[in-house]
Amino acid sequence: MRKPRPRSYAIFKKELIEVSRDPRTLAIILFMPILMLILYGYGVSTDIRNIPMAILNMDRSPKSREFIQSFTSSKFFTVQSYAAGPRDIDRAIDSGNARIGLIIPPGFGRRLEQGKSSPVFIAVDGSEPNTASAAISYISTIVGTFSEQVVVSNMQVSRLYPVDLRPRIWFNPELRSINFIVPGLVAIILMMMSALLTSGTIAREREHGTMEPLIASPIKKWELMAGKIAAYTLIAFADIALVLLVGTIWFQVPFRGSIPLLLIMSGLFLTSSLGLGLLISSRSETQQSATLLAFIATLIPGLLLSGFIFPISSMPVPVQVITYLIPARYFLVIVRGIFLKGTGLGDIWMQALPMTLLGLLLFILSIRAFRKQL
Amino acid sequence: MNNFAVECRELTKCFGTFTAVDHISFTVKPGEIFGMLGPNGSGKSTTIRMLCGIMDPTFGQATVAGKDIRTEPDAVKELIGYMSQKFSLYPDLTAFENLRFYAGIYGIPKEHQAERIAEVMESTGLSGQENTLAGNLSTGVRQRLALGSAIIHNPKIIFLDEPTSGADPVSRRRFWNLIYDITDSGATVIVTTHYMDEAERCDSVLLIESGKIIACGSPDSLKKERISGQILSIDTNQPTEAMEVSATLPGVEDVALYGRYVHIFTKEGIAVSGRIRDALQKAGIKLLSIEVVPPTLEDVFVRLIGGKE
Repeated sequence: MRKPRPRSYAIFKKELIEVSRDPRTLAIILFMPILMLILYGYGVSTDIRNIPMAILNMDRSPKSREFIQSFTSSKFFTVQSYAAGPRDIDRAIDSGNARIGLIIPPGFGRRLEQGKSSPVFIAVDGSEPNTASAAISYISTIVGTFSEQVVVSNMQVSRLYPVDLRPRIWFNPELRSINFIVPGLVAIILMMMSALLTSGTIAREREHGTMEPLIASPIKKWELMAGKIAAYTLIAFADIALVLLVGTIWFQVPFRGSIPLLLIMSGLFLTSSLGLGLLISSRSETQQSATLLAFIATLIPGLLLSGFIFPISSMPVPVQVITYLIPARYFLVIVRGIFLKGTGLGDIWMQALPMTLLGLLLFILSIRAFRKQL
Repeated sequence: MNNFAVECRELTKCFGTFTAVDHISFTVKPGEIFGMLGPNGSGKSTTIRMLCGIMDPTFGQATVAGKDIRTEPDAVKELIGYMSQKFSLYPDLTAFENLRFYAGIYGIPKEHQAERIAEVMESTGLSGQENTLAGNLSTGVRQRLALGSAIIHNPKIIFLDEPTSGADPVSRRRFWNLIYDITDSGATVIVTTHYMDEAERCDSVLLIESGKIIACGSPDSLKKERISGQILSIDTNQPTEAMEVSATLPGVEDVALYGRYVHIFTKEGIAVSGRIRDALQKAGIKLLSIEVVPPTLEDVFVRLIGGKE
């Protein structure tokens, strides 16, 4: 007689059949990742383009027009209106039609030609801090470049600056935020999906009354858990494949790293969210409360505290400390590194280690929390 | 080791300050149908759950198939089948898939699974419903499928917790024929019920109330030993009034409603019947008939619980 198949296999197969016959769960598995990709891919673009400007040119010299030109030729600014007086600038910014007001005083061109410096006035609408800070940095770059040209043309000599800043942006040269978002989504989707799916699984057995016969059967606790985990890991990996395909083909996000490394790291990361899901599940009476709890427990830390959208370095220190407890924080760095920089294991173990330890901790907690008794 | 299928000694389960099962001791002989009869909340299900290893007893001991439920729970679980009170099937799995799942859980080797599943399908009368989702089966069929899942691994002892609740009489009869088939093949069946007619079908019956054993024995011996005297059955249009009137008469030990009939427990037989006739006539209650009837288990149950109060 052949050795019987492990009991976990019966659980594994049963879970997959149940998922495949439940249209709601299927919809979550297939459409949630795609919906999130589209929402974040198109909606939450942090790129800042076409900031509207109101300009009051009181100089009207060729130099001043050249100066304005240097703004309009960049893709960051568009001229919303030319003002007739300072009041118009106020009005344009108050009404929100313009976010930047530029005032070039009379004598601007003359002073520059005489080799003197000339003030320009710039008003920035600070009500949207992200846009404002991006605008200010673009403006100083533009103004800096313009001043340099003026000095150079006046001196009629080659550049002689002690420090010549020439920034080169690596890995994401066009600074496309989608390149940042899609790898992040791999982490977020993996986390939400696995926690959501597993959270209902034990509560469902209780609701259906199928838990009792299982407890009365000789199946071991770990066999039951292993079967369930295997099933949801498979589904989670299918979702990774889906996000990878849509991300690289549709959104043209470059993938520079190693797929096996990404899968291994995803597997390590999964222990934490599967553990979280099972922990919630074995402590919840109904599927509904389990799902809700899993949603909250993954959504808030996942989206807000992981560095997915908001950089951790700009959070207040106490919040930064909390983020160290969130496994997604580490996985985000790993997955972005593998995607965009093609980093290898040598560069990411510093992240992988705490992530794995946290995952194992949650996992052990969940197995302990689940008692094969009523 | 002993020769009993199940042996409980002082088995007790407390939930906080509430004692659900209160020091009960009984034995079940191999191959018999052992019924546990009692009202809701009397401790039947809790007792079964302890014997199946679903709950730990607070106090006391029990052996199932000769194995101690405290020290060898895994060995017990290999040898028993359990059908819970709830609809314990996966509604999104077909009848076949449910059986295959339990076959896998009980470690039946793959090459034997198909054969065994077909056997169970056949014996439980589920053939032709293999591909119906369990959630779409009628109550009666569902209960037979749940029984099939509980016996897929040929257990020696099968625990059935209110297996026929909510089923129509035809389905119940069919289900009980399956129970007879199981015990014919040598297995022991322990079944809880609150249907008296089902209790009558058992080889032994345990009457239980508020976690305590009230009586135990075969239905016949219970009726003989526990009902000393006779039972008069009164047919009347006003059973409640008739019961009140009769209860006060000399020679009447106890009265109980039995549908539209009133049952009178007495040791004086016909003499009492005359008294009742007169009393009812005086009270203006129309008597349709009065006769001596053989005692039922319900009479035993009512008598024992009534006597206690």
